[in-house]
Amino acid sequence: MNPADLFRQDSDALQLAPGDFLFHEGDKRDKMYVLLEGEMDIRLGDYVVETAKEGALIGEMALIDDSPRAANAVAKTPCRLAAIDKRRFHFLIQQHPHFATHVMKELADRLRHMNTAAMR
Amino acid sequence: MNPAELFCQETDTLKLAPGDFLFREGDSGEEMYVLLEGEIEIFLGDFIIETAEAGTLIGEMALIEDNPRTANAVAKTPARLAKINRRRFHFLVQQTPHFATHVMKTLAGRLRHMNAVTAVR
Repeated sequence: MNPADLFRQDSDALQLAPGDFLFHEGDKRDKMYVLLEGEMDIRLGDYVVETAKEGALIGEMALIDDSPRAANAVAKTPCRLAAIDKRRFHFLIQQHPHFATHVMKELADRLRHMNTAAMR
Repeated sequence: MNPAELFCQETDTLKLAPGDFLFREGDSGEEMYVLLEGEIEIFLGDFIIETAEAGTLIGEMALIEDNPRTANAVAKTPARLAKINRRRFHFLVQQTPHFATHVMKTLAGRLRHMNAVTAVR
């Protein structure tokens, strides 16, 4: 499943230029994003934990557990993103189990990556 | 939501004595577990990343990603666990959105914890 296909028709997509922050660590927000075009660096401090590419979910953790942003998200190239608010997020989980599974896969994949990083 | 309540009627539960391994890093995993009673320690190498208590989901990553176990899980006290296989897991995700949300919360909490641990190092 490529979530970008699910949201490509969103008309109010967000555009970012290289160097623009999508969000900062510690921000309190209530939206997640699907990267439709471009690349974004996800940073913990100065450490790039992930370079998100088309189809990546970004910022879903703040929606899931209502806590502040855990990382910084910065556009590496020109980017276009679809925004998903909390209501739509829970609607998607209920109506599209594949979306729920996809969110879990992304989280599990990141956790595996961080587990490996912690062992280094 | 406390998943232990959802699964406390299970008759086919797994019992572990202190020191028993639930699984080892690298094992292929076909089941996840809900800890109904007791405590289980999750190790990365020699490093305890979590002491799971009643209600905790354990081993869900192997079901979600189809990958080997990423950590060791060892009973710290006598423990009782409900087993959930892949088919039931996907059924629960589809039929019980709160279960799906709970799995996400568990993963997000662990990811936050590991982010913090890694940032400190």
